[in-house]
Amino acid sequence: MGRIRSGVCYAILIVAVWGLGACDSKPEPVAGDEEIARASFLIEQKQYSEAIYILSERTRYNRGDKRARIILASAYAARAGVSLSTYVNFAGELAKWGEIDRILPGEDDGDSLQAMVKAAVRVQLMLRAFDSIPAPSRLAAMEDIREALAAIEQAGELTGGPSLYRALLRIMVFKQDLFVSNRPQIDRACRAYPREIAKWLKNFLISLEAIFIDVGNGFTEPSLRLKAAEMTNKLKEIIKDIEPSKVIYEFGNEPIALPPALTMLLGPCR
Amino acid sequence: MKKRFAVFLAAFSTWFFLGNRTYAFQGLPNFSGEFPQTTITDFVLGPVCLSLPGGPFDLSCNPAFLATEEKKQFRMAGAANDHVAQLNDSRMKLRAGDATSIVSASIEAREPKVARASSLLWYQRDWWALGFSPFRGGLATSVRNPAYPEVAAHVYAENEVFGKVGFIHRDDPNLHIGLQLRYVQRDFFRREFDLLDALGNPSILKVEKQNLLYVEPGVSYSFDSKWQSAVSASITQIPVYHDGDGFEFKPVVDVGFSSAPPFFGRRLRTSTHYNGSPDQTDILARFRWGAVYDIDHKASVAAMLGKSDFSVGASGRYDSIVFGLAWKSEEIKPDKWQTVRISTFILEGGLAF
Repeated sequence: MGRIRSGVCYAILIVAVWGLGACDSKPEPVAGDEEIARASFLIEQKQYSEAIYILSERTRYNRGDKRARIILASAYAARAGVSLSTYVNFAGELAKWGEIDRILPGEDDGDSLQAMVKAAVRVQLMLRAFDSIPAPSRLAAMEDIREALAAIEQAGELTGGPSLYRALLRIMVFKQDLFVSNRPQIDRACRAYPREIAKWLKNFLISLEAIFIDVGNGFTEPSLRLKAAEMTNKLKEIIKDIEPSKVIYEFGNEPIALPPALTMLLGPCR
Repeated sequence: MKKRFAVFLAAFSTWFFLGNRTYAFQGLPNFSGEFPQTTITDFVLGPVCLSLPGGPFDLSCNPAFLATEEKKQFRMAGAANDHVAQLNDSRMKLRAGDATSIVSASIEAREPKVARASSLLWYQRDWWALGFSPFRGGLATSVRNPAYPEVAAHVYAENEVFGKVGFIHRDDPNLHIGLQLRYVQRDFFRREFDLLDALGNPSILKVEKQNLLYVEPGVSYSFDSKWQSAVSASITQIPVYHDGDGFEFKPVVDVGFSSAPPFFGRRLRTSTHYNGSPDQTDILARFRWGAVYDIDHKASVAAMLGKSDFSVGASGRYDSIVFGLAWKSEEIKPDKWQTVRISTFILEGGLAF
């Protein structure tokens, strides 16, 4: 009887020790280590500057730390007012990605002015496609979005979610630049220097190309990646057609009357 | 010497596991590691039910307790907490294989959420019992860092058939041994991911399916004392057959010391319990104390106290109708610096014959 009792007690002791040892599989949290988890917590608590400080210090010493750079970018973006709803809207836009080439006009040959008109139509259509993604209007917020993009730019080659995130930040900067940055002067007769317009437009197309590349790298679905690659190639061709020196050769360096597609993009004639 | 070694082992384990605490899955409970909760008393006691014999109209969780029971009972019970509508919605989405909608709903909710529901019918005849659960489900979701959202979601819906038996040891009538067999069909989604990764790769949002056969032994040794003290142990979640996706081998060890001191003319059945779930990395939170106070065969009041969760509830019987209400509060620790406490009411209704 006593042997059974002590046997049971030993068995239970062994089981208890085994239970204590059953901690071998501890999955790491998504955020990685404690420092990044701490920064994420601070962002959640709206203590953005503290989070930015922690992550800036970290990325200063670990330049290749992609996760830290992404969370650093998110801290700047959060300070600029980017919230969960922005991602929900972005998800909605990405869901329509498969149909995005339907909104782009077909190719045809023409002079530089026609190429600029085509490019302007593309920029307008892309703006409409990213309509629900906000562009911060406060100066400080705009600076934060640029800082966010700068932080993530240095992360090098990105794929998956981080690449989509960079695309999202690029879209915000793209919209900011389009609406806020210095535009070419248009006079009351809706005339402007074609060289200036070509330079200005080319910059936007290059930004747009970077957005397409990032979105393409963000997808794992081969058909969506292919679509992004096709769009990028199309953009490359348009960018090639818009050459400021070619514009001067074709139209000289005098203001020309702008077609409606360009005035719509450049704003009111004044 | 042996004693010193045991003390050293206990001290080392405590230091090691306290010092290595992780905050996986944003601190959400892992339903796969929980012992099925069937009645309001089980909901209140949580894992402590494995070291306390079932009340007059409950089914003992640990099969070893069935060895000495004298019950002939058929029961139906359904219990759910106050998020039952959302849970039902998730159940339908799981069955339709639509994990994306489940994730969308959890993002909209933003606040961490935990919900559980269970329905069960069983028949017990003294030392054996058979049962069927047409639906048992759970939902736990949390979103961290809205600026770069990290989502943790665990949603499951399952049905189950089980049988359990308990025997008295031939040589020692104080030693009871039991065995439970459970066959579970489960649809589930359990993942922690960055939202933007899911936007680029929707295939990570996939409902998985499992068929599992568990063998769950239990043992209990009752001492000849006035307080009816007993020590019991069980190992649950031991799979002897599995088929399907996302399978993890994570048996859970439970050990408890129970006693029933006299209390206001009746007995207060209590247990100090250790639940060795590997998902609980805070070792102090693995210890719980639970108590049940049965008032004749008409009502029961139960309470449970742990470091990270506590609950209290009561159930009663009127003729063939059984009903119960409980309140449960559990702690979610998404990381080292914050604690979110989730409180829910659980309601039970059923029949007993």
